[in-house]
Amino acid sequence: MAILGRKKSSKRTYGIILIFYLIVCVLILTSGFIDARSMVEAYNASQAKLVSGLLVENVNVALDNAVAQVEEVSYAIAEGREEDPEVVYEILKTYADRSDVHSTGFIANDLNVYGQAGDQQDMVKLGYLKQAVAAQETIVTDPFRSRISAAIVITIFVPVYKNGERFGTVYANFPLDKLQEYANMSNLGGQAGIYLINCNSLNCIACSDSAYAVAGTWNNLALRQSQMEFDSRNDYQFYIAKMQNGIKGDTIQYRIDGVDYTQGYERIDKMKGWYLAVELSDTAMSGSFNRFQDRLLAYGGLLLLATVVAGIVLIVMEIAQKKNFEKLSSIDAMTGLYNKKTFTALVEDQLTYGKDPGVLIFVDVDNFKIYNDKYGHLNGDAVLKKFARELLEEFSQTGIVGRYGGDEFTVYLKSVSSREYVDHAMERLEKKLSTIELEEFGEVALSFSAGGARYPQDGSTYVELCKYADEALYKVKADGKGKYYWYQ
Amino acid sequence: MKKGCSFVLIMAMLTLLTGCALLQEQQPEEEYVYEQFSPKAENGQPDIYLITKGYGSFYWDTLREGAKSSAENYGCNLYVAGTPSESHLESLAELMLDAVEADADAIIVSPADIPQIAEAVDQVKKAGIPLIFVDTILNGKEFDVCYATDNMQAGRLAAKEMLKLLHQNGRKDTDALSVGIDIGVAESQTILERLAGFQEYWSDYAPKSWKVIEDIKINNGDIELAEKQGYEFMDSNRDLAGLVGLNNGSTVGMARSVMQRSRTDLALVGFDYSEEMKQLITGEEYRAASIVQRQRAMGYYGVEQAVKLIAGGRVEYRYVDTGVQQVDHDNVNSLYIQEVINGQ
Repeated sequence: MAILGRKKSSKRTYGIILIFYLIVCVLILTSGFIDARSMVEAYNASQAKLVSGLLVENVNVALDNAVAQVEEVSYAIAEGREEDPEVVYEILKTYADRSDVHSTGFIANDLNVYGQAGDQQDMVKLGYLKQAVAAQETIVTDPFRSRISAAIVITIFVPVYKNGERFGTVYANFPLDKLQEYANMSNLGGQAGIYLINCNSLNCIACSDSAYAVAGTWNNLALRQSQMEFDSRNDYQFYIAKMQNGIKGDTIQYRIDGVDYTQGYERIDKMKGWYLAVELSDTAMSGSFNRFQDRLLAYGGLLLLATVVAGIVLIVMEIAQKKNFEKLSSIDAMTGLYNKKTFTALVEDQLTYGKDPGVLIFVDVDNFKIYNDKYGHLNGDAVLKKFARELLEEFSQTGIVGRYGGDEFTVYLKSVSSREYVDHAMERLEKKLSTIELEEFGEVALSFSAGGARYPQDGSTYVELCKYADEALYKVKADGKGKYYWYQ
Repeated sequence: MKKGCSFVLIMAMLTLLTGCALLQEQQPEEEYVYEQFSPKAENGQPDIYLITKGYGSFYWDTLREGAKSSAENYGCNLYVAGTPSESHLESLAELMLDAVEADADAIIVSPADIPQIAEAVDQVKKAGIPLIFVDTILNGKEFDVCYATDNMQAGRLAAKEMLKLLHQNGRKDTDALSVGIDIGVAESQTILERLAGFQEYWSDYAPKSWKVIEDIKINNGDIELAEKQGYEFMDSNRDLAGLVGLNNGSTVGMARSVMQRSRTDLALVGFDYSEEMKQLITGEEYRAASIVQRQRAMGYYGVEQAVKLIAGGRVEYRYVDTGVQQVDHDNVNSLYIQEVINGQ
């Protein structure tokens, strides 16, 4: 039992060390992950701000150029002598042919439109006609779908004055996809959502094809906000409020469906109330960084797993080795039977914890000294091995077999109370051990003497059983050997 | 060592189990059956193929009727097929390719923004067949002409109607009130455009103290959920003065919630003319309005334009807004509105 206790204690120690090691590893990996995560977030925020800043600059330049072109044409008309709107329209058509605009035309002060009928219908439908004629300076409309081209466009209206008097208004439809070209970065590989946002309605329109939207697709930030996880909503409201209060640019991080996003916005100068926003997911913009982080975690995890497996294998090997050592110290090296110490411990355990009846038998090789002297020590050993082999074959199923010392063997039969059973076994053994084939000497006669005592009838302790079995054996020897006696 | 072997065995079993689970997940879906084209008439008339992403509903059947009526007027063969709902859109692409295979003179389709349809659109244009979109426009895709509702404009009209109904309900510009919006799905461009139009008009014309509740509710096409969301709006907003449903299902859900609780103080604006909306609009107790589309016109003009294109004509406009009509208590009994409601 002491051996068993030690085994359990050592297993527990190993278990504690392993768990402690795992906890330390998990803590290191978790802190590494959190650290890398915060780096990704900081990196994304700075990148979103940088990218949105760059893109807005591009968009502003593109819009400035587009407006400047229309203003230039308007200035030329203001300075020219043409006063017939039809002629003005013809001039504008020439301009349209060599620029990016989809269509252009002239609006007289009486609201007559000299241009394509589709343009006029769009302006009437959207209320831009009156607005344009009333405007004192250049205005740029919200994006809308043009009836003529089916594309999303913005219209630039520029008032024309001749000799200080309002002559009319020049308009040009500028396709949004031209702005999209400026508001796009090929190296983002379609992974960034780029939007024009109206701070009043919170409407937004996608400027580029991305993983989140097709270019020209409308959405609304309120809907986007309602899809966010609860913690992100207040921050986003604050972010929108900044936009509505005219703050030029800002960034925010939020979470939708378990994915972290970073968004940055910048104001567009020429489109009143409009901002350009760039939205990046953590898995997009910082893809390589995330991949690095993921691999780090994967390799860390593998290393952890490998360490655990190696640890388990080492523990298993050590336990197996220990068992082997224990086996070696408890076994008689020559016969492979339990030695006296182990046999005694096992039988004592049996008598202490088992309540079943049993039989202890002492077996002594008759005249063993003669075999050693006459046939040599190797043959003497062969005799002992044969005894061990036959005893094991006969009794290993029901009992414990040991070498007590020298030419004496001990057998304890568990759960056996019948004398007949033992007598039959001894008779079989007697036949098997009547001769032995010795090297160089051929077949040689063999015999043994044995004495047995029963538990609990003859003795209730190991010492008593040994004493009474030995007494029975002594009696056999006294009667001329080669027999088996029970203790009387 | 036995324990080591056990560990390896457990890992192997886990791997096998995972593999089995994956195999189970990859089991093929049930075969999906969709409507097919009838055989060609071979009578020398132009062959026009119409493919719709729905049928068996008032909306889609009216669109098809418009197309049939136009085909009869212009003397052409019309072959109609489609998917019963928008849940198997890839079948639309297959039908488009079937039409190409059948050597169609023109193809009219209600498209959807999925890669398979983009590829099918390319195939149609490659074959030199006139392509007409109805109901839905696809951004950045090649087509000849599109007949659809301007959903931004429809959203604006919905907002305008809501402002009108709120005023009719006695709400003053200085009152603090809120309006809740319910939508079908957040991925539908049609709904998103309506939402954008509504928000644009509201931010331009609504009194500053009249707010749209920021938590826009999404019912994912579940009318019962939409009704539940209507109650949620009522329970969590004491100043609630109006509800908006931006598609038919959302509208039905909102209407049911309003009627169930007899909230005659609420204004309701929705889309399409369902039985529930009819009850609210025609009754005297409630303030309600619906925005009704002109789907018959989409079908009719689609075929008309197809005939022109087949004859070598050109399109004047690539995008034609077929228009929407607001229906409310003030105009519901007029002959014109009744015709619109009935898809005339």
